[in-house]
Amino acid sequence: MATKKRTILIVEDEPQVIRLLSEHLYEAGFLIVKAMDGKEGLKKSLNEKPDLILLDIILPKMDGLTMLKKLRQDKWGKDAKVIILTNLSDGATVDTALQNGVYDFLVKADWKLADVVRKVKERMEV
Amino acid sequence: MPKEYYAKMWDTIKNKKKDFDSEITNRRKNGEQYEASIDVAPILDKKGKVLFFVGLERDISKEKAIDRAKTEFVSLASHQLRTPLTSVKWNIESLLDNGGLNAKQQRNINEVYRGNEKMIELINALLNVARIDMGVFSVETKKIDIISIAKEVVNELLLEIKKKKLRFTEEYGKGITPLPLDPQLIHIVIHNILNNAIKYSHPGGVVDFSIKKDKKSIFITVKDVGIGIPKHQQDKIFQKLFRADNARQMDAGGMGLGLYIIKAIADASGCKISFSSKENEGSTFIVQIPLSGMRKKKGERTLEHLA
Repeated sequence: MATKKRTILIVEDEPQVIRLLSEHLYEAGFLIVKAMDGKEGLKKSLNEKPDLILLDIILPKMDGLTMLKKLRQDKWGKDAKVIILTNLSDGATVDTALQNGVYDFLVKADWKLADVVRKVKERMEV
Repeated sequence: MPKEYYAKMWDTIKNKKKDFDSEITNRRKNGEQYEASIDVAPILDKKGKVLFFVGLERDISKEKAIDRAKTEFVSLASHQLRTPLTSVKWNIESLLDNGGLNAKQQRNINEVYRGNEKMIELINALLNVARIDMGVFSVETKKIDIISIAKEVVNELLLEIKKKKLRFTEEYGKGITPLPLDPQLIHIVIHNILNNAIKYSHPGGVVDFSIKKDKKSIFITVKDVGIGIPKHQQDKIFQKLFRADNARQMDAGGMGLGLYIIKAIADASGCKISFSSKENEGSTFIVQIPLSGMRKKKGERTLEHLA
């Protein structure tokens, strides 16, 4: 029995991060959609309705928190699963993200890539 | 400001007849908002009845703007620094996962990875120091079991302990019930003193770790028989970026920020850090926490996890 592959949207402007995350998540059996700025991220979220969104904060055109707030105003978007993946760690950013309902706030430099993949799998089981 | 704020102010100066000292967002005649520091005091007659109030207001918009700029700079700078380090970190992890390296290559790559991790740790430490210097870090307490945090830390350091073939003893006293602690901060403190003991021990040395309590306080004690601290440098060890001469020679990879950070945590939360040490014989560090727990402190953010 073939189960439908689940989709992860990566909203990230760093090419290295996109490449490495995509490779590992694809190997883990997920379909990957990419967006390189917040505006594209919002559009693709609402169009493709991914099972999980990995969202960076510092992004061109529209930053991650603004995109998140707009996403939450949408009927589908308000329940979308989001994990923040960023290298920003100031209090105000974390608070805003949590207030807008994210599963996790991960500081990239503090996480092994394999552990990020593990976290994603954990969250997808819900 | 919200209604409750003014209610509190009037209650303080009129009913409680006390000084009211606070920061406020106020509005100019032209409608523009600004930030001010206010101090309102009731003036009482001989019978203790309120005659009138004296209020002092100081426009602190500029100071606040400078503080915000400093916080943003530190945040942004650390973000920029972390970006390439993340790329190195994850690329090396991928490389190692793929295998196919000979022993020499593995060793070289492992050293690159280690150096990269040290830089990440340094950025976190610098972020912490910046937050401490600007007074913006918070102490957010909740009732937790200190022993479970201690065990987490020990677990994180087990590999290092094994690598150095240290004889490690762990002792947890009876009757230590959950108390108000900031989990992140207490983790940083325990991690730092334990990590120092391990770093500055000779291979095959002994490290004793214990948490005990008496009638008033909880004591976290770490004892090692390593390089110790030279007597004439002992008064400097809590200074920023200070590393004793023998520590530098050992190449244990410290930055001289750990003790500065944990001393700031202790001072802010009502705890005490003390130590005794003799060069070439070892050191004992003791963290004392009152049974009432860590004292809360309002701030913008708790500190970064190190290592």
